[in-house]
Amino acid sequence: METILTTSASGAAAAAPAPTLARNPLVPLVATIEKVIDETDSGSVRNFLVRLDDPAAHEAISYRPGQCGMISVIGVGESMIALASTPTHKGPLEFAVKAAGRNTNALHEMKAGQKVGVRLAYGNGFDTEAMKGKDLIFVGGGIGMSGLRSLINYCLDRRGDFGRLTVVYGARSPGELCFKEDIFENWPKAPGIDVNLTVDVGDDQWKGPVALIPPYLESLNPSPQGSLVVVCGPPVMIRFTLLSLAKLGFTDEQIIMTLELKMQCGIGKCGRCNIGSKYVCLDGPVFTLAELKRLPNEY
Amino acid sequence: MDATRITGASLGAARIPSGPLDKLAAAAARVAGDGALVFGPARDGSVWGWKLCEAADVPQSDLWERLVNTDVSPKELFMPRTEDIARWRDRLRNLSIAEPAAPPPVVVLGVRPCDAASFDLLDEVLIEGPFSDESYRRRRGATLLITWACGKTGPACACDAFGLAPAAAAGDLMVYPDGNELLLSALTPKGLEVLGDLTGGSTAGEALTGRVDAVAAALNAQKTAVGRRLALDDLTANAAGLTATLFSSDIWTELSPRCLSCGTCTYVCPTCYCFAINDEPRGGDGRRIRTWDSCQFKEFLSMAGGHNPRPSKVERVRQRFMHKLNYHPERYGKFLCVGCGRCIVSCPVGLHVAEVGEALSRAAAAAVSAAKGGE
Ligand code: SF4
Ligand code: SF4
Ligand code: FES
Repeated sequence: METILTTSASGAAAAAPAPTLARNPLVPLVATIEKVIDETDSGSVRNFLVRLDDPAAHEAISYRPGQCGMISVIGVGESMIALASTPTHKGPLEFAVKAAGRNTNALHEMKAGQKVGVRLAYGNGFDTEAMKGKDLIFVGGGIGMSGLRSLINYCLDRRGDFGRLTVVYGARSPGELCFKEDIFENWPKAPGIDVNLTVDVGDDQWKGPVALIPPYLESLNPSPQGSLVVVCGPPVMIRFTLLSLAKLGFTDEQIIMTLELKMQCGIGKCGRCNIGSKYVCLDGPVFTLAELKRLPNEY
Repeated sequence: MDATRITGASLGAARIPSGPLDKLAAAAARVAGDGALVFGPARDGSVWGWKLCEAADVPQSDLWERLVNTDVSPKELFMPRTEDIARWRDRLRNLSIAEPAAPPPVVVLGVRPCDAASFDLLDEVLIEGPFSDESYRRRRGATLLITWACGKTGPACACDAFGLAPAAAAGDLMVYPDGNELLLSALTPKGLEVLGDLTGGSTAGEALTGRVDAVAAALNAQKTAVGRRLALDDLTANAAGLTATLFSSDIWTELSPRCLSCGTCTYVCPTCYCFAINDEPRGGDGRRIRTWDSCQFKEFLSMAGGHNPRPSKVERVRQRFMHKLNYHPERYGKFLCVGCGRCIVSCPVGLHVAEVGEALSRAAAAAVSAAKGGE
């Protein structure tokens, strides 16, 4: 046998990764539901306030507004949900969830004190750096307010960093408006923020406007000058709101949106959420309209 | 094309006679670590796949002269068809969630260069980036990969069309057939340890590395039948610029009707990695599993509200081939295909990466010349 051994591993070949036991990001952490808030009269949206059972892990949580978490009824499934809480408040994580599938239906059956699995934080979140010094307009429809609420509360906690804040929020009826304490009490009292609420159909107590979001937004006539607009809501609302924004003179670069796509791993591995070469779970869910227009139209 | 994907850098070499490989397997198992399992090609009915070999049934080297490649890719050794992500207990009262035990070390004896290269592609997706797929990474890290260079190519082989070659260097230790002997060349410190264990550390002259280079170069010079007619470099060179054109090309409506949505192409493919996560409850206990999934299935992307961004075969076939030939090159600079030829052999309707690659490169060329003509 003839052999040559170069014992100095002096070169290109790097050592294979050692099989250390880093935490598997796909394995959820055990969390307890602290409180369940019925956000709407119809019961369609419930906000689950949850805390990781490991206090150190809960303390170590960090996320940006617009990022998502996976919440799981163990034994049923997992759902990727935009966090409704803000990282500027060290409280429980908030997942405002609409019952729409197996896991979210099962979650709606759950009560305070029960256990869920949670893992986070996923996605790019909002680029709050790029928003600094800008006037911000938040346009939300229905449960689309969830991720916006995280951002709005973040902006209020860092008030000096941003210009004027304008909230335009609509729902089918007054009872379907979510986060009532924020939209009716906390925000109107905060400095430098305009809260504009609208509903498709009013009721006896409703004194505000009765209008669809796009025409209502147009009637408010927000200026594109030095501002960015963030739009979250159901597809039809988005479609018409984009037309209105174009009419008002907003460019595609000024319009920020969040995408919803089926997700499973949340960490860019399972191959489920791509649009062209982008993964919504890594590169999204937040995109500017200009970025979206550069992607294949498949979402 | 990235030449280092083909030539590699040898850390050391040895020469052994052809024939039984039990000593090589045993040396590799010792280096891989306590309790190492050795997997080699084996036939199950009419299908060649990968099986645990006991010392007595380690294949002999002539197997690699007869067998072009296994029907089933070795990816399942790192990403099993089904595996536990976690096990939970007492779901309702006192939930606890545990991860499975670390996998045992594994030696894979005699993967082909295309398959060895497929792991490098999977590593980039599954290990790198902001998150690591830990169960895959653990298996990969605990593995010693012995790669067997191809002395001849098969009718469906296409490595050279996808930036590789029949003796492209990948894995820990390369085996090159050389007449009645086998040349071994270590690509990693682990591979070097195997050589040391096998030979007792004896050393010889530079002539041997020279011989390794010469044999590797001769094997790498082989052209495959598919590679001779496919020229796909244009598709990687300007992937981002081509996305819109290729996405809206007519070829998808022309090619997709014959697809059966059977998913065979994705299951046999060493570089397809899509998976699903599901829960299997047994009373209050249970397990969360991940299983192979396929973008060719309608349910893959159907959402809770009923919306499906890829409702028909047009979108699904487009997704598979755009991912391999355009989206992945855009993100990683190379094809998500190693030209192993499995989809070429297995697709019941002949809708495979060579045919679609050819159609795409024609569409790309047409777009380029149309743009030139319009100037
Ligand atoms: S696409 Fe086909 S040729 Fe390419 S790696 Fe997958 S199975 Fe092999
Ligand atoms: S391309 Fe071929 S192998 Fe793949 S799903 Fe369609 S028919 Fe099946
Ligand atoms: S959800 Fe798995 S890749 Fe994005």
